[in-house]
Amino acid sequence: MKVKTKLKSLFTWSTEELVLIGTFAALIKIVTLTVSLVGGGMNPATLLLKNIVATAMLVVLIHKVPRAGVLVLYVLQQAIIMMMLMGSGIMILPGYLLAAIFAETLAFLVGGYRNTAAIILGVAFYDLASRVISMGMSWLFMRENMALFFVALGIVGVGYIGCLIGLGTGIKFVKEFRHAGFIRR
Amino acid sequence: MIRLENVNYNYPFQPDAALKNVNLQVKQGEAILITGRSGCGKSTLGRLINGLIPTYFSGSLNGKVHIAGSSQHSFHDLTRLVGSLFQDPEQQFLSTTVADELRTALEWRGCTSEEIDRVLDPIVAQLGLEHKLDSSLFTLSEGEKQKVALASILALKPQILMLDEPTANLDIHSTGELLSILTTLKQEGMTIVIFDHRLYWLRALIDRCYLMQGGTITETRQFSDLEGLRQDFGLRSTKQATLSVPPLTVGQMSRPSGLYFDSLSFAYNGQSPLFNNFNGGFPQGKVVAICGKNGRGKTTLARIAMGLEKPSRGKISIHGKDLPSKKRLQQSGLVLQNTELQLYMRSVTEELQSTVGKGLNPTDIDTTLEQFQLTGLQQRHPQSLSGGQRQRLVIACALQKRPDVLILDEPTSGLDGYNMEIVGQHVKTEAKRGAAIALITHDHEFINNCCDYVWNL
Amino acid sequence: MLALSGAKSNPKPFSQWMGKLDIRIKVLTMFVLSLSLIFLKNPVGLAFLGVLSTICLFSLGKYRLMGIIYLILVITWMLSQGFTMLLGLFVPAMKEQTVLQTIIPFLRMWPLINMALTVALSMEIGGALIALKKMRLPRLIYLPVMVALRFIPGFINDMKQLRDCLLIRGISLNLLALISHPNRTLRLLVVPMVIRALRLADELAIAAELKRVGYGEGLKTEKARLRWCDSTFFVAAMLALVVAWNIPGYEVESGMMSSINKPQTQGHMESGQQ
Repeated sequence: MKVKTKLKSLFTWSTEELVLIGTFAALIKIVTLTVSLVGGGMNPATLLLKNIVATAMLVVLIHKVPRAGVLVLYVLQQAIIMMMLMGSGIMILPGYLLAAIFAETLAFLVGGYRNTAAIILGVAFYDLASRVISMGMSWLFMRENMALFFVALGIVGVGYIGCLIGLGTGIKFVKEFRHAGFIRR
Repeated sequence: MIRLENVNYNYPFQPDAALKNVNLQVKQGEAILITGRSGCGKSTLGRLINGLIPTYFSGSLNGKVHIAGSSQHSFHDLTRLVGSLFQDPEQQFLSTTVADELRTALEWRGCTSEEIDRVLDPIVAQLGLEHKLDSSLFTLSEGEKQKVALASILALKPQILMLDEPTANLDIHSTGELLSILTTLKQEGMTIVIFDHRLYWLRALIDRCYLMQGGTITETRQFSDLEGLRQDFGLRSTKQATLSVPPLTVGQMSRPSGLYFDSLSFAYNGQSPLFNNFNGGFPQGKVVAICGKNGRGKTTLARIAMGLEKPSRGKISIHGKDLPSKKRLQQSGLVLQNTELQLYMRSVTEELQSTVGKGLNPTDIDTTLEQFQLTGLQQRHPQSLSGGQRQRLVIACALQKRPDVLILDEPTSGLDGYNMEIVGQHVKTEAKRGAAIALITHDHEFINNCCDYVWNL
Repeated sequence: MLALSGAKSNPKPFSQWMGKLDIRIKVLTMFVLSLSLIFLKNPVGLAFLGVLSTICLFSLGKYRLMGIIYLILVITWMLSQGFTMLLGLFVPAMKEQTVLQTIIPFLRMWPLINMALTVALSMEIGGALIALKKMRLPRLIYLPVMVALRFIPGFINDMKQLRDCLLIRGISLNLLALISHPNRTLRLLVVPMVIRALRLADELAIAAELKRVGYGEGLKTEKARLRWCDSTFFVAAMLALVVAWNIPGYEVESGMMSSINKPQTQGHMESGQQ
């Protein structure tokens, strides 16, 4: 009975929570796209910045909506937005969803999203797993040209360094948003 | 229709009560006004009436709230009984086109297409929106946006209509139109609750006024009594202000002092020119009100002056010197409407210091904060302040820079009478110091209060 | 980007036609195309799809954007060529890569980028919202996506305002500022944006609650049916794919193995076995 109630609560979300997830999915997409367009997608500074910002915002989102399933919903929303507006993203959705589910499980095992360390671990794992999956997809597209694959690997590597920095930046932002009264937990 | 009995309410994590022992009774077909200083609890009372408290905003609520004869309505029923119109109608749009926005709420209540058309057709005709149905919501004027928001509320046939500062972004003409719509609705039996600082437009509509202070209703008066209570409650004038300020003449826009546009031409991409070989400016030491309908280029002119838009032709000078945009930006101040995008620091003190480097000592900061009624907020995060407090802080920051030219875009939206006086005094002091000041505003009361000239674009 | 900015700048007839296409058809086409491109190795077939999709993108009239994207593709290819040579110094097998091998991934990306841009540039947010509503997705998915799409145009405008407000305060966010004051620049970039987003989310949530979007009796409006133009687009895209798979061409080996450039008369048989 308890399991049934818990499963039911997993699918019951308030409007406020759903709207926050949708808003952040769009926000992160717009900001990363803008940083890429303004900074020129390939230079390391832009790559770092883009990933720092995206990860930091994701950390803020999970602090705002600290409940199981938030990462999965966020990934799903981002994929749908990308599909609807940019015609892309459908191929990577299953892999990203899988990465999000594993990350959520990991966060749950280390204490759940009420615990900041679990949030950090979950996001760090999601960022890593989703990149590994992206590289798998890249290999399928670039398998004839391994040099290109290694270039992509380098780009993803720099991006992940950005994600790791973003975790720390995210915590800093969370502190500030607490001071401003936007995060209350 | 509305009955509140001994209502007390605390927001979550807030030690002080937002509403204290509130009692209120409104009959069907009545129109009431709830007013008072910024932060007195008006918005909270509104959230209580439309059911957002306690459904959306949790917290602790005591007392009885009867709406349309019952205190047991579900939130779903309340959203149908009480229609809420916000200060910025864009806040309540969930679609991007007029027709889709009007249909949304009905569609989610399970109406078929035929039923929706039957309900919407007369409302669309009543509000004159027939030709706007296919338009994008983002291209409408403020008055039109408000009509769309109102139409989508009326489509649900509410018994109570609640309006939160409905005229804050409207010009005189659109305010008149809104008044006429509300008068008709009242005659048809609609109960109307208005929360507003601007009072002049309500004289013919309002049956009774409730004055709030510190989360409680302290006075219940007739509209005609409000003028005498202005000082005590920090109210705006109840009388329609006729402009008593002279128009700016060509002679007063003299080139040697102040800001001057010389043969200015400007057009947005693919649109007809807003300015064509335009000459004019704002004189030093004077306050000029820039008026005119929406879309005439008032804000664009301010942006050109600051170097945020590049004119296709023409020169812009400050105190007789033709200056490039970067220099103009250094010597000027511009306060835009959206205050939350103009505050960046971690505390109010840091925010003030950031405008002048580290040149401000703690005494200067305390004095400035006192002048703008912000005492005690030094360590607060600027984004945690109320709308009125943010507005005053942004203006205080712009004045700290001691600019040669200062432009304020709609500085009185959301300000009560008391704070409007404070802003007006500072604007006049800054002009006396020698700055050329321009105020983009529709607010006649404010113009009469502190402007030397009016410039109709 | 038209879809993101919500702007309307006299769209061309093809763009209008593409804009009216059902979102489900676009997603399905992109999915089949992406999947096919993974397995399709024949450079002639890939080039055929590339040319066709370029014609589609060209019809939208966004020549400057096309130029920039293609330039980036060429630069990336040159970068990978340089990297191949560099790796060749340490890994002898890398030296054996032919030019054709290095080009194939780009030929694969070419039609994909073209189609993604064609879909993006012809999409309007209003249309996407209506399509979404007619798909009758569960509230859990519908509500956040609807809010996200509604949020985008207003937020882009807010970002422009934020840039202006920072300039007024004498702060410019550029690469130099990021390098010299990384923490400050990052904070100035992110904090006001997130705060604006949090406030907007609050407003949108209240609006959605008051309109009871996603609750109540549910939608009774008609489900969208696929129209003639939707089917035409999908059939045309699938025909192009079939032709691309059947074009006689070359088979190129994967990875660092040497390529086998053997002419085929029945290329489709080889391709079909891959």
